[in-house]
Amino acid sequence: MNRSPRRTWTSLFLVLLVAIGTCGCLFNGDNDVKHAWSAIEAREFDQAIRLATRAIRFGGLTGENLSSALECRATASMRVDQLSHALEDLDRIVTLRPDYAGGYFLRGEVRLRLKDFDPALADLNQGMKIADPNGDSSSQFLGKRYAHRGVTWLGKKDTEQALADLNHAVALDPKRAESYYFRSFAYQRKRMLPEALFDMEVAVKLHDSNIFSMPKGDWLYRLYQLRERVKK
Amino acid sequence: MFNAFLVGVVISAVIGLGAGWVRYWIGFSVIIQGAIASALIAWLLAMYLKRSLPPVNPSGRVALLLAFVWLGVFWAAQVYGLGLAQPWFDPWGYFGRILEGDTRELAFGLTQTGGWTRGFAGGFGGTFWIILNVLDGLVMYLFLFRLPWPDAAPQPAEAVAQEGEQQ
Repeated sequence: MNRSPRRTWTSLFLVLLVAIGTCGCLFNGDNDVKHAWSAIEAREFDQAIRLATRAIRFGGLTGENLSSALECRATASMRVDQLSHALEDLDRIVTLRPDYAGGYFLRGEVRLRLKDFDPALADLNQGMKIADPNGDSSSQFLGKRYAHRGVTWLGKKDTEQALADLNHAVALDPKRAESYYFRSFAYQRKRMLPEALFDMEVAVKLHDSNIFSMPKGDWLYRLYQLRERVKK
Repeated sequence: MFNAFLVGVVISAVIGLGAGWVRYWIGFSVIIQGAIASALIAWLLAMYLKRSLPPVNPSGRVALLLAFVWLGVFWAAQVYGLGLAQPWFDPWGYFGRILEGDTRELAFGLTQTGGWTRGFAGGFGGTFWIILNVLDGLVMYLFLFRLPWPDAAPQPAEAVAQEGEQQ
């Protein structure tokens, strides 16, 4: 190859390098994170992942902003069933901000979905220790987290602990259908079928009241099964 | 001819990788992307063809086929480049969800309606997204097909050299 093409290829390579370098100046990390969270609200999970990744790679983010971008990407990854990738981001959040309860809660949720019950319980406990150290918080947000811990206890076959957490979850957020749904399992395990049926009726009713969602088929089937058992 | 074909494949692959990367991070610039990519491929290929001996000048049918293969290579590389830009490699899943309308790709470009030229930008998915891609691919195909192949006549320097050999 003579000099001219070599120079051309070198120039092209340099242009590419400069383009990659200037991406850091072109992209605004903070704006990207904001838009990524909006994309999650709009259920555009692929775009949320794209924007959050752009913020993480080129946005020059640090500390809380970087943690927010990672959390956004982890949340979107969970929605598209990329649990192992979500877990990687959540590990980074926990390392970055060990005092942030949200990181432990989300990681606990992912590990729960992976049926990795012991680590999930450890994460949820750590999150509770930070967010609700005395166990007397009235934050509605914590209802979901207590419900997750209740489900983890169910996975570990500890019905008493599960019922305690699910009762607490219902008390904190009485309009959360999932808490009733899972509590019905705890009641069923304790052979308290009327209570289980009542919770399932409430769960389906609450689920139906959300105009954006159709009742899940398995919820309705479970309700039908419980009704049949109570009749017997 | 075969060397020119292979060089075209390599160039199309490199430009395609870059286009995929840009497409994921910035968005899909309809027609503009195809025009720029094909111009780059044509420019780089012309640099090689100028130096190739004997000069390559394929028939219309072969040129059509070459353009088609290079376009295919460009597209495959573009998909791969987009996958490399993603946090984890899943380009087919990404394009599949766009096709099904589960997500949208940011696309922008210029359009002319009622005598007015205006820019557009937005998220596109489903059938309209396919139309935009076909449009872009069509422009690119025409550019690649109309590649200015060098004249078959020997270059002045070669002609002088040939004369010298004859003497």
